[in-house]
Amino acid sequence: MNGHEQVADAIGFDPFGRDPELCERMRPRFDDLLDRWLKVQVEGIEHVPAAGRVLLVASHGGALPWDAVVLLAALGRASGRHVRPLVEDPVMTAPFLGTLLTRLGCVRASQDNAARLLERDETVLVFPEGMQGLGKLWRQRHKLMRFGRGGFVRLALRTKAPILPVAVVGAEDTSPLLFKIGGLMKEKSLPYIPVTPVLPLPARWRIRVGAPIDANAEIPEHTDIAVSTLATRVRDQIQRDVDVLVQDRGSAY
Amino acid sequence: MVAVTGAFGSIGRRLLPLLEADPDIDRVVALDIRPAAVGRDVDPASFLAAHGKLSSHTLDLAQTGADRELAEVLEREGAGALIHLALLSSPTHALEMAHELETIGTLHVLHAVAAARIGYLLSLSSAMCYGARPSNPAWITEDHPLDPPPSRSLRDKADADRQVRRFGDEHPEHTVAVARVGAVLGSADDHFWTRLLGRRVVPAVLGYDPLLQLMVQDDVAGALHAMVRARARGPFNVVGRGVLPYSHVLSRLSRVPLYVPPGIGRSLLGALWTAQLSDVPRHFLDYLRWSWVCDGERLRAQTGFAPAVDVGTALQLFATGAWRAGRDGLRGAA
Repeated sequence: MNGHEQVADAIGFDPFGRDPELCERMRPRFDDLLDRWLKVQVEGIEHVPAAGRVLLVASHGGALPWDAVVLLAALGRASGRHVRPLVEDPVMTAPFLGTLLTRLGCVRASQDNAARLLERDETVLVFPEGMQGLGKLWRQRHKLMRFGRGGFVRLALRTKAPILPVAVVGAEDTSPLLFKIGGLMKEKSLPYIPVTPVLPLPARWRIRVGAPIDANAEIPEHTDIAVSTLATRVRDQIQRDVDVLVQDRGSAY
Repeated sequence: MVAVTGAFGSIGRRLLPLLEADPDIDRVVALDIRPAAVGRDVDPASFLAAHGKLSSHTLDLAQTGADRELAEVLEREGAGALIHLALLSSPTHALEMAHELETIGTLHVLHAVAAARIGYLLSLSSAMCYGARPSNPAWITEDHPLDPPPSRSLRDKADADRQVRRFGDEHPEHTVAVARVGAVLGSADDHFWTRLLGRRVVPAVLGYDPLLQLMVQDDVAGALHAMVRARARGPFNVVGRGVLPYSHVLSRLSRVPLYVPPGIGRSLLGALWTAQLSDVPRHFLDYLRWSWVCDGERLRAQTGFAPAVDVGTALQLFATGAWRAGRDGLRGAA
């Protein structure tokens, strides 16, 4: 059963704050954004199962988290599932933006929240690069950063959710990070002020969903080193896919 | 035999009839600073005469020597369980009184429980003791540390919660439980959230809209009763069924939100609170900004209790005033 059918109980409100009415209202706008503005193409959607828990692991980029929204809309539309992106604190705690993303289905990134979503058989999307992914400057685009500390592998081991590697090209071109103004907000939750266009540039997006990886079958030993090795392997695979997609796509705009 | 402190408070008044109706409980001893009065129009003597299982003692838990007095009552009555409800349901400007009642009163209760060898203690606490902050998990479980904001009223409550749990750890011969109750809809005199949501214009934080859990006071009483019956041990979240964003709560109640930016709002609330012009402490705004939704699964799993009324129905009852006419077993001497 799709996790979201459990949600639509008598109370009608998702326990993580997704607002189904708002999502329905936003659908035509998302369609315009995906098809007319960003010309998003998705490959490998058949790897996303029609039901059951799944952990989408995606590359991250762009100064503003447009990739969370684009993946939510594009993969959601193509697979028929409600994609739940886990988004970093500085974004989720921002006024208005955090609330809007929550209503669209995003959840604050934490192991606890992710495990809970997966136990409800939801489609969870994580960006292991985290804030480092959003902090990539224009010249670092399409290069994956360190994949966190392998938390997503532990999550997959614990919840027995298949890992689907997702390569994304277009995020950095849509929301290029031109400069970082740092050092001003040390005490605040925001590590730097991004200098970037507020509206998304009309870059062309390519998304490729890879074949599922069963973490428990890959590393039955569950050791720390096995976890970090698998995390790196997933990262390398996504990097290869990103490189192919960049080649295929040609010009960004 | 079950004894209840703060028995004539809002939750106690709902709990007493459940205990009286329980065939496994032969007697109920109500302890309260107030005499056995449940309404201005009710005569204590005739009220008690009409409730055969019930006896009543007046007792001020905050007073020196209250521990000995309570222990004597419990021993004389042969109490097997004590439900400690003598805690404040709303923040107060009377900080000293609040501290004496919640921290010292709870200490007195623990002394008495040990002295009278009471097998089971259930103590009231608040889900707000977890604190509302951005780092909270979407669903707070009982093992999440208590970290209330630096507000006296919640510090005292969290302190009482910790005292009770420490007592339980150090005295495994006593089964000790804590009920961390979330936001309650009931009578506005008794419940902080009810009073807040009962106003026409209510504060809201600009740019934020956390999910809220709300439960009716009858479900709180039902949960406490279920915990006593099951001799549940340890901390339990006692929260409503379902969640709604704060903005939806306000629109369902046709309230007018007064949006304030978080920083200014806090300063403003702080000034109003200090000047004793407002009954809303400054840190309360955090609870309208960040999520503090609690997972009530442990209560359901261990006692089988689930709230009868979900958040939507609770709001409907509240909006129509139907809760006023709800069953109130102690009203009148009937």
